[in-house]
Amino acid sequence: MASPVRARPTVLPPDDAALIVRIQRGDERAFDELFRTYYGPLCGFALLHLGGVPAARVAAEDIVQDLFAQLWSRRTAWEVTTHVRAYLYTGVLNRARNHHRTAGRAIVELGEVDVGVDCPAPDRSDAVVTANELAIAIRSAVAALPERAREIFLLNRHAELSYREIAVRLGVSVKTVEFHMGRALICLRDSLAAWR
Amino acid sequence: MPTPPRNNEPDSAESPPPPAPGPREDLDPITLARFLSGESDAAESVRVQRWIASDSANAAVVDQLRAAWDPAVTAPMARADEWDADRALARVRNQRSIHRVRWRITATAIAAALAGIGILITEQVRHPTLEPAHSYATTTGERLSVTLADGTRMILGPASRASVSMTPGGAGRPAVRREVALEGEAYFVVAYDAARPFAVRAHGAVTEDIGTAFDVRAYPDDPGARIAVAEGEVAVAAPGEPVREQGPVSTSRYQLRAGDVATVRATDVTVTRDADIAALTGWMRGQLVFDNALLSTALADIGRWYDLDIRVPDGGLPPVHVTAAFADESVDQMLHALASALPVAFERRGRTVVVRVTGFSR
Repeated sequence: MASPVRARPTVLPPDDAALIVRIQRGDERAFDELFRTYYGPLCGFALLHLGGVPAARVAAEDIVQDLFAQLWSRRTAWEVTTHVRAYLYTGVLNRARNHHRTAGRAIVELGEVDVGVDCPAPDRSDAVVTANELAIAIRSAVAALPERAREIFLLNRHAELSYREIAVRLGVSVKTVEFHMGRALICLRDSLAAWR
Repeated sequence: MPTPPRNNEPDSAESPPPPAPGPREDLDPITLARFLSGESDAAESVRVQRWIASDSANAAVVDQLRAAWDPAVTAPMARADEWDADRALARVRNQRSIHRVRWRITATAIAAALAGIGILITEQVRHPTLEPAHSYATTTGERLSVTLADGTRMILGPASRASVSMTPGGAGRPAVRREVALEGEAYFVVAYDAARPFAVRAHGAVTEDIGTAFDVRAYPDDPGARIAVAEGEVAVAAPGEPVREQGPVSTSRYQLRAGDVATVRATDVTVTRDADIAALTGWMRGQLVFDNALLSTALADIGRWYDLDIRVPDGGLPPVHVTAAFADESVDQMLHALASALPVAFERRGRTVVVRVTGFSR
């Protein structure tokens, strides 16, 4: 499917490009600006990938700080071919994966193929009594998504990256992104059937 | 364009997940997910909205999914204001200072080296520029969009380098001349200014803007420079031709309008009218387009695009031409498509691709 090409541009917006150039020239104020804009949202995003538990807050902050420190030290070789936000969020995702790996958790590697639609049952033990039970059910259903589908779902919903940006950053085709989003939808729909 | 290789790919992630059983499952989950994520086009949106309205059970499912799609519902703990950015920034700055010290030492070393080449610097002073030349460079697989100080937008293709300078015109000349020395490919949307001509120098050819958007391509392995005009007009001078300093564009040079493409080889200029400019500038939109390109040129482009080290056999490549467009394909899909249409085979290991010539009768 060489075409149709999506209307969403993949060319860097001038704002991002200008900021990148300033940082590459060693402009500390540009770096601080980038840091303040993204630090909070990226920590939240890292925390989601680390399971959303309060105990993971420190690890989440470490991941984001490490990303920025490395960005600065390697700024002259910084390669940004997508929006800066896509670069930062996928950088956090990669670090979160490494964190899992060193913590001894099995991770589906990039490019590995998931077969079939096998939706793990979400943990419902804590649910039901509060007024907010659907929201809690949704959260545990998202947490229980298959690894790859969950990563892509969070990149799309929380990092607000388009399918195309996700595909570019993860080095997969847009079709693969569509597949995992469809898979996430099936799992979420089925997990929430009891609340309809 | 060759047939897309998808069906031959042993990648089951390419096939849609099986639809879950149920009486009302007439809309596939991939389509619905695309709709909820705002990725559907107008026609698909209408189709999905009709499906939602057709049954209250469908609407109930979609209501739940909309909640699941809402980041405020799924991750209240991910709120930005819960984190202390100032404290974190101080911490990162401390880590950073280590690198800064190392940088200063390097700068001193460079200064010492520069003292030895004073002649070069003097030469620079004799032809002063208003601001020092800024260089922008990309590596393979990379693109960069820059807005220059005068408002001109430059989008730099992969493995390209552009050096931008502003030169005072001197007596009787326009106040400032804006000039870009280019190696590789770039697209320019020029902020036109009659008092300040904008020129791009590539492979010796000079392209001068008359208020326009245009693409210049001149990789070191290209035989010459190629200029494609998307909007407005430009004037092209072959290497060795005098370049206008002021006034209307001289008639001795080639004037191109929107849709024209000029190829400059040595001192020859060939102009093609009504060319497919969208295809030639597809790289800006993430497309890799070959329009009757030589295989060797196409492979060089692919190497730059995907950051691959493509090894061509000693005997060279057959002089076959490629016409194809790639956008979302993976490296392997694209190589597969080329190998099925051309007398070559590819063997990829990591970022190294070895090309073999197979002949047409396979």
